[in-house]
Amino acid sequence: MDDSNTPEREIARLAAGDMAAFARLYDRLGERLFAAARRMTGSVEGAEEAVQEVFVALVRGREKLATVSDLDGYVFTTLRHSIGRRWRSLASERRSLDGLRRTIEEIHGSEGRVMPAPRLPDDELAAAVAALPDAQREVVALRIDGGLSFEEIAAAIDTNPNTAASRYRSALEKLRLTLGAAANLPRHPVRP
Amino acid sequence: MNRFDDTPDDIEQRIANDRVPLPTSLRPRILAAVGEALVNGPPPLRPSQPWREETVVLATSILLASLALLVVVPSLVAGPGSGPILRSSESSLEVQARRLGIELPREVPAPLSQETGITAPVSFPHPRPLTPADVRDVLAASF
Repeated sequence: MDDSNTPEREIARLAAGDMAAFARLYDRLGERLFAAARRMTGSVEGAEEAVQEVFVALVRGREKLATVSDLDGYVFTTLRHSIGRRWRSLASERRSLDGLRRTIEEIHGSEGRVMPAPRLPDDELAAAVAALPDAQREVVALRIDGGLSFEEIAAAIDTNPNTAASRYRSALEKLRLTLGAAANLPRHPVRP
Repeated sequence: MNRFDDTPDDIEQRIANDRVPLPTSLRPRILAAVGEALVNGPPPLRPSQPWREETVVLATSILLASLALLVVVPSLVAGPGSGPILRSSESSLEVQARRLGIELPREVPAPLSQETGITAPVSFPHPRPLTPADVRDVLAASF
């Protein structure tokens, strides 16, 4: 039986520093990592940096890969650690920018906007997700964007699957209420 | 539509639809970073061993502090003029004398009391009360 494409062989290639194996890993997980990172950081630039940091960290610690059994879980755990280190500064930066944007819009109205609004597909949702506690936001990101099971999420965030599932349900409920309230608020009239 | 009617599944679907396409420039950027990391190997100070740098700094600080104590403390304990720093210094009088080409006597001059034979009173109060004649003598010597 040809076992050259088994996960174990692929992990061994990564541990040996095989460049092609890292390229295959990016092709397989890059999109999910990027989506989860964007959800966690709330920024495209932050997500790009985080994903790059993950791959560099995997290369530098590649000797540890030989002992890994769940490669995807390990990669997402690395992503979480990478983002966790810079989470506070990124979140603080984003809050400052959002506050500044709101102040400018209050003074000048929507036409007086002097800096571009975040180009996100769903600004309302992005704001609601950003308002979630960090622990809930990362579970949502790992579950929906990362496509991980609650068992894998539990391993990544060092908790048990029930806690991970509970945080996920709480996050969805909070988002439902926040988005529902936002949708039913009267809109500010737009200046002619 | 009232958004309060949304179910958790609706929210889940909305999040899943909220996607930004993966930037095409990211793949070459990451593979270049991977290639560089493979060539350069692990960084000199691994994240799992942060103690190394701190230990080196701490050891250097202790060594410098110990050296400073070895030099300064003996001179302070032995008193002024006896430590290595003070012993090697030259007084301003000696410097001036050397500049002027004057040779200072090497021997320590004898105490004034040995030349004059005057000795300090050995006890208080004064052995003899002052008399008007003493005051007169002092005034006469002053003016």
